Amino acid sequence: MTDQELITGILNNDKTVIQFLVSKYHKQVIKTAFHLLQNMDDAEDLAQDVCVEIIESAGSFKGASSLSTWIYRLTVNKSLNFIRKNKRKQLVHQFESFFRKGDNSIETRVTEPSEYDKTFENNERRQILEKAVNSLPENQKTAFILSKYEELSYREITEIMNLSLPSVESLLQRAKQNLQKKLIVQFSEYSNKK
Amino acid sequence: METCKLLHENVFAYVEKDLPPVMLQQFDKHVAECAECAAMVADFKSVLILMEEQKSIEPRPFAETRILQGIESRLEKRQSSSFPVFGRILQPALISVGVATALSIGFFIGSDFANVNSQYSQNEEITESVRSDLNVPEFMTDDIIYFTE
Ligand SMILES: [Zn+2]
Repeated sequence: MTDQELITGILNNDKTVIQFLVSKYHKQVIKTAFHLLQNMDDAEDLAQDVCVEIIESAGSFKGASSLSTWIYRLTVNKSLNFIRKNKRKQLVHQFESFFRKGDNSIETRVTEPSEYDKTFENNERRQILEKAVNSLPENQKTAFILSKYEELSYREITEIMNLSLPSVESLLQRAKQNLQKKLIVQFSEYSNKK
Repeated sequence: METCKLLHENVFAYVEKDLPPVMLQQFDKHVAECAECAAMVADFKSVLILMEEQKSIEPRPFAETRILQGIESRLEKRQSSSFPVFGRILQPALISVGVATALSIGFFIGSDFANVNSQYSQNEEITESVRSDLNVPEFMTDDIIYFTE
């Protein structure tokens, strides 16, 4: 089904097309929202919001970019608004998840008891990484997540974020530099604690 | 010491092998000799593994079904609570007429006041739902459009 066929089906209120839309894009939306929000419940709720918005504003999709790009843009916009509205709630969650051992916000693999120490250390490292990514400025964080976790090309990121190629390159460069600095500090603090 | 500083500034690029070959070789040699840098490189290699893990995150089981159910109930709710413009104007008037008629019939029959009251409270509920429907939903108020088409 082409993007245009999908949009036409949505405009005709075709339930099969809506099911197809959710089946095709829910994973993309949930993953992106999860990376930005760091909470699976919120990511699922946001996926619902995004789908409802696609259905309600399908008529405004001009086809200037692909449907996937439009959906990424809706997801990022809604996630950033969610973060803005829930900043306080989010801070508490991050604080808790940082200190929660064996955090289950990410599906962790079942491991042998002999691997416990390794898993514990991985969880610590995972939380350090989450915290560092979360503390990046909004634009850097978004570009980093789209590039590194969603593996989108620079061109796709320019379309989603409505920026030029040099701006995206510079954002990603700064994101990596900032992340590197933060991680070096966090890892050295962590190894001093051990 | 000079190489330690240089590696600190480029450790991400080093573990991603995103540096000129000469620099990569220089750092390889240094890491083999400097325990502190070796530890830092090990930390960043683990970051790369964690980043790989982030790429393969999957939605929870039945997320698709939950989303579909959520969409359906939200769209149904909106459809049932949204009236066409003329309906929004006519609705309060119709409700008033309904209330008056119900009251008249009640008085005419001259009995069962409880029945009239329940009719009245039902109409009051409808009026309330119309009133809340006229309010602009919260999601439309102060969202920022960060990136546009
Ligand atoms: Zn060194």
